[in-house]
Amino acid sequence: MLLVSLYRVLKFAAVNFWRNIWLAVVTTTIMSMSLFVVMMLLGLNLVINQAIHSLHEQVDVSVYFKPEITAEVVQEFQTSLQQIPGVREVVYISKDAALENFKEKFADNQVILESLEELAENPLGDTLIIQGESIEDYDLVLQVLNNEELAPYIQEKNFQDYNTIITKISEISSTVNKIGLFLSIMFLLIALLVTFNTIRIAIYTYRSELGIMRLVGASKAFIEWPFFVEGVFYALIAVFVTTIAIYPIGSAVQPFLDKFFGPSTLNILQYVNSHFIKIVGVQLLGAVGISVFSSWLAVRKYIKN
Amino acid sequence: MIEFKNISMQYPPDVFAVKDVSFKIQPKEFVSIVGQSGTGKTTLVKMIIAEERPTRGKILIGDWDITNIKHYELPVLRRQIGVVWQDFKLLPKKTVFENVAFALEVCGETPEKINRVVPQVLKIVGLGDKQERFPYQLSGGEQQRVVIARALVHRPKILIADEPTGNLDAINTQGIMEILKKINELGTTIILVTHDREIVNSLKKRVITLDGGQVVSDQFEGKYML
Repeated sequence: MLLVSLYRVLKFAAVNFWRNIWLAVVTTTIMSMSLFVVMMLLGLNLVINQAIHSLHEQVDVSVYFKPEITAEVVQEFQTSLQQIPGVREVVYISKDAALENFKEKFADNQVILESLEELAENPLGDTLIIQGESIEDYDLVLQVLNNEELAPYIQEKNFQDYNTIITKISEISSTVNKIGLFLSIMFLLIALLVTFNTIRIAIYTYRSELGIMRLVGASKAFIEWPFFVEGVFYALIAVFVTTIAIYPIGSAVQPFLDKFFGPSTLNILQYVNSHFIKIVGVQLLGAVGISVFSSWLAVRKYIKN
Repeated sequence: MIEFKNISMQYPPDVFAVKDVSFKIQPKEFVSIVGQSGTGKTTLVKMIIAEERPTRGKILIGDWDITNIKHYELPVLRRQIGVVWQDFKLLPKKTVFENVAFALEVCGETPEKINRVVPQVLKIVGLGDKQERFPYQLSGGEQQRVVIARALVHRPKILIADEPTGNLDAINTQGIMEILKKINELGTTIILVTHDREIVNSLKKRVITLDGGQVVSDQFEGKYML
């Protein structure tokens, strides 16, 4: 009996779907577009987060030691600084390497190069470049570097200015994230409303039939379930179309991302493939949920008791 | 048996669609309920299938008091009654076969039984060769035959025909009435609601006459009196 009922529900849904194919095409197209907007927003959030992450990675704190401080002392500092929580890496640059970098940087400036030639010794000291795990971790690093005990060793402190920059970047990141989240929620709601109304309009075309079915003796469940299943069909097709569309669009956008962030930094298709089940699963849940809910609300309205 | 006991349907403040109507219909009877437009005939029909509820009185079908029937009991009631509507009320997106089969599907019949019974019933009403047509592909008379087939395919004890020939020409009208007479001969109680004088007079069956929402006449082998 249950199998017969299940068979009937599926059959009615499939026959309804096929006999109203243009309505089905329109409904699934609108649902696909709504899902697509949501996917694009997620993609945009991904790009924004990557942009912020890249920006964070540009930030570092450089400590220039006095030329008379030996490499062993500097390397001891390097070891200590690496122990600070939140420090990702501390890079040691010797005075000789620092001089070579300086000459490369000012290769076009003959005055500076000639001045360097005049000096008997290398005027530069060893350098430590400190990179934190996140923007917030520099607070602790700066606290340590501001310790008066280090003052005799340090030639120049450029990390004072970074404090302002780091704080600013943190604020901007936070604001961008909040705006991104707000926009995502807004467009998600719009997509939900559009889908909801589309399904309701589709069922509106059946309103007189729903009343007739009740008069002939059909129970509410007998009438409702084929519409729920039909809604699931719409959702499955919309998810399939949206998922397929991600690949050519991702491929088209990838060269621009590679140019902006550098190759292999953010690969959209790789991200999609590695999170495929999650992405498709969430889409399915959302699309099926909204379809069935919309169908239920609309059918309930038109079934006359 | 169908029994109406002091049935009234009042719309505030003091408009009565039907007022203090009482009658009994025995099993296998053929009863015509007649009256001019607006006298409450269709209201009585709607009360039998609980599409409308009376404001006073009781309606019994057998021993079942359906006056205040619960929503979840409505499908059970309606599966035991066949209704032929003036405006057909066919499902436009289903074929003739599917429209008739629907009445069996809601009763939970198996596909095998449906595939056996539906073609037989369609043959009886003369539509055996039009099973795959859609309602819009049929004439008015043919559509009404589909409605009759749907109304009796699940062998209801009661068949209600509400102005079944209202939209039909004379030839189709005669055809429909012949089918209804045949169904009644096979043991189904028929309640015919009509304002067609000629049909009623030719039937020579019981006639309940309504006027102003009240029963003014109830005659066995009656005639259209108004």
